[in-house]
Amino acid sequence: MGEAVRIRDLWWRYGLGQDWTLKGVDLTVREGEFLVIVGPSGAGKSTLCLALCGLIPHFLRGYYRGEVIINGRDTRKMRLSEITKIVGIVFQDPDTQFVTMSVEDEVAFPLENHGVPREEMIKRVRKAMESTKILDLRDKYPHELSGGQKQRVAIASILALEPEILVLDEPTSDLDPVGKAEIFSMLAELKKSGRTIILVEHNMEEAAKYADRIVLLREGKITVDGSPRKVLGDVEKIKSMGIYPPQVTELAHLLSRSNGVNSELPITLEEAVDWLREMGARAVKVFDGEHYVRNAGDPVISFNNASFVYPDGTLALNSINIDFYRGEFVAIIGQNGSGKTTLVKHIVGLLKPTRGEVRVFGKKTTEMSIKEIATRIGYIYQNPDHQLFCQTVYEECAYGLRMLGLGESEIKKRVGDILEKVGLGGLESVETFLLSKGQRQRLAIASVLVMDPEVVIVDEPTTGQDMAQSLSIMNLLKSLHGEGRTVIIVTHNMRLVSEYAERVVVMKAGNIILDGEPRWVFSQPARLKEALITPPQITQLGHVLVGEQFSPLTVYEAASMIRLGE
Amino acid sequence: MSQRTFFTYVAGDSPLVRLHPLPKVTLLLSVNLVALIIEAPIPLLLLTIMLALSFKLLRVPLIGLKKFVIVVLIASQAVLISYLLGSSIPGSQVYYTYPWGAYVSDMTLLYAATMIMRYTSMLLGSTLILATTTSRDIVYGAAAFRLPHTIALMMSLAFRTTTIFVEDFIRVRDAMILRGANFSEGSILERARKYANVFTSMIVIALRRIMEIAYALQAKGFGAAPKRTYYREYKLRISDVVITLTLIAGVLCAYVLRYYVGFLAFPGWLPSV
Repeated sequence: MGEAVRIRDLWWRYGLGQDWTLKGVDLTVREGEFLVIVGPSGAGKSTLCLALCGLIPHFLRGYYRGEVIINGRDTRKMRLSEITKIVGIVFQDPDTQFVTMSVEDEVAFPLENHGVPREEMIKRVRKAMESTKILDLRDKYPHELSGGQKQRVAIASILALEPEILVLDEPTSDLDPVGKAEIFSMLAELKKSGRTIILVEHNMEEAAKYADRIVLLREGKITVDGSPRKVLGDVEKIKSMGIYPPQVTELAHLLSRSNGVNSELPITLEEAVDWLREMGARAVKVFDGEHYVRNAGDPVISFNNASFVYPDGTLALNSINIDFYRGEFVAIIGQNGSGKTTLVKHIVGLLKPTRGEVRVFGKKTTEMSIKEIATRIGYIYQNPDHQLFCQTVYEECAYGLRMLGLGESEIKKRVGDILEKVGLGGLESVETFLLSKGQRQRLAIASVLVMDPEVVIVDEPTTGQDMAQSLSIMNLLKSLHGEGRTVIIVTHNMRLVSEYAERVVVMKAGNIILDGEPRWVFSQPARLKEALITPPQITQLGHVLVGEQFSPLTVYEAASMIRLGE
Repeated sequence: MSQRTFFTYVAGDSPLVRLHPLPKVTLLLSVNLVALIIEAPIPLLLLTIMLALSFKLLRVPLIGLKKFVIVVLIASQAVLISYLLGSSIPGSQVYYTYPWGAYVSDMTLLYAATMIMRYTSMLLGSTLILATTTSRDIVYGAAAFRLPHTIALMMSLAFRTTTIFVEDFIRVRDAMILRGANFSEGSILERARKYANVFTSMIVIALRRIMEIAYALQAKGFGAAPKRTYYREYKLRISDVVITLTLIAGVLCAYVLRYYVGFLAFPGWLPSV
């Protein structure tokens, strides 16, 4: 196989940037290879993608050294339109990539730009829609598709150009588990057709199944480069670099270490099952599967037959009955559009039920102002940019307190304390838009927590964050829970749910289909499948190995429940 | 099957949805131009009623209008106040004279009402555009007018991103409300300051979105070929040409009647030209 891409000593600094984002990257990608790029936030992964597709240096201005060779030609000596025919790029947020109002028009758009004759265009649009399985969506409005469908449309519109190399920058970060799996299986199909695939991804469990090679980018440099087995098998090393290894690999690593086993570690679920059977693994503890529902005292939030219909007629909540109690850590899960965000918007009073009632601290939300609710319940958005509207870090945190009418000395004290708590101490006078995404997310959390709410609701707390940032946010939420506050998170990340939540609510099409402790919820794969949810990998391993009565929630728990030998 | 437009969903067999982009764009532009030209109260009232009725005839969901009711009310108040406080329109009866020389006559009231009708009809016309047009109509309509594709795409993106920015605006405003801001309390200055906060955030969000859209356009080869091709093939029927020409003639006719004959001018005023 020949070389599809060769990058030699690539350095890049953005025009207004102080530091180099890429610092001497050397990378060769073979034709037909499936390469996964991993790395912590700010490592330069997206910048590398922009260099691969020619937007750097043709569209973005900055300082460039080294070379990117595509099919034997230096991208600097090619026109951008030439590069886009060879290298197709799909970005993280499909919504901002759509420029038309129907799926079919969206797929045809790049071909129109390249002046492809109409007869040829018709063939290519059909082929791209067929290969991404979106033919039945051709007349739909792209923005109203599910997350997975949107990304398939974005990929189809690039595939229509028949690029030899496909670059995807975190295409699954906003998707539910089934949406993620859809995209990965589609990429596997594309690889079979001989395309070179370069994928930036945080999810190592899916990447391990399909990648030929993984490279780790850190602080603008490639620090690890090898086969998935080699890279992911070095569990301690990749964890120290801020990457989550697959849970099954981590489990095998723990068991190998404690049992003195020295063998190649499994990196997929199927391999782990074989590995454990070969090692003579047996479960030393199973669960009775008892359904646990916390019911401690009066509920702080109650939904009584609450329904909500959007003005366009969409039934988003269908006669919901649920109580949330003081001091609970609840995760609300479900596929995109299942009603999770609508549910939490009812708690904070942004939406009022069209039928039934929602009570907060015993009072109907229809009889409370949002301001009144906000003094006791804090709501943190998924995108911090929607929540930061002041100029400096200090002002951002002080805003809510000023609205509450607190004195300046009290405000100063509270802001100082909360900024220390979220790790932003000393940045009080920094302009909010100059912060990194992780810092903005923590500031958004701080700006709500400073108001000392009894209930904290966080929508997708870790989307787009690396392992270190995710852990930092989740540990902060855990400490709030430890202080006796009620924490409610809305998330697609099943690993976080199983590790942190003590109660899980599963939603599907405006209904609650499961509600209980994580182990009980994750031991019902058939019901979860209805909601397009898959349990965490470690729980799936337990199910395959022993059965649904063996549902470990974390790697450490699984390691304590399994013995090797005999 | 219903079709998604910039604004809402319209029944696929609505007469306007089935129209060729050329007469469709012409129709929608001419409605607004005519509303700008006419200054006589009765014809404007007729135009406003006709536009309101066309929502029903063209099977555009009335829910689309709901979002604009508040805008119409605010604009109407502003128009009324500006004419009541700062105009000097001669009439048969003067009700009040201000120290600064402006006065309120019977014609002031009639003129203010006429202007409210004008803005309402323009708003109804614009709502009809957003409620019945797709980006495809804009792009193909502009191509039929031989406008550069860049302009057509920018127009289409501007319409499409408007709805995205409105959603962003609502999210940021909600975030402020959740931190205790009350947009219906305080003096005009205080309210303006709160909205300024929303716009601070909106600017950052808009810049990021614009950058992402620009990346996507470049990655999709926008402007790559000297001559762009089109995926859809629209055949201009004789009926489409007749409708387009009739509409253009209608606008010209309104112009002549207003500025040369004075028929559509405000009563008692001389033609402007």
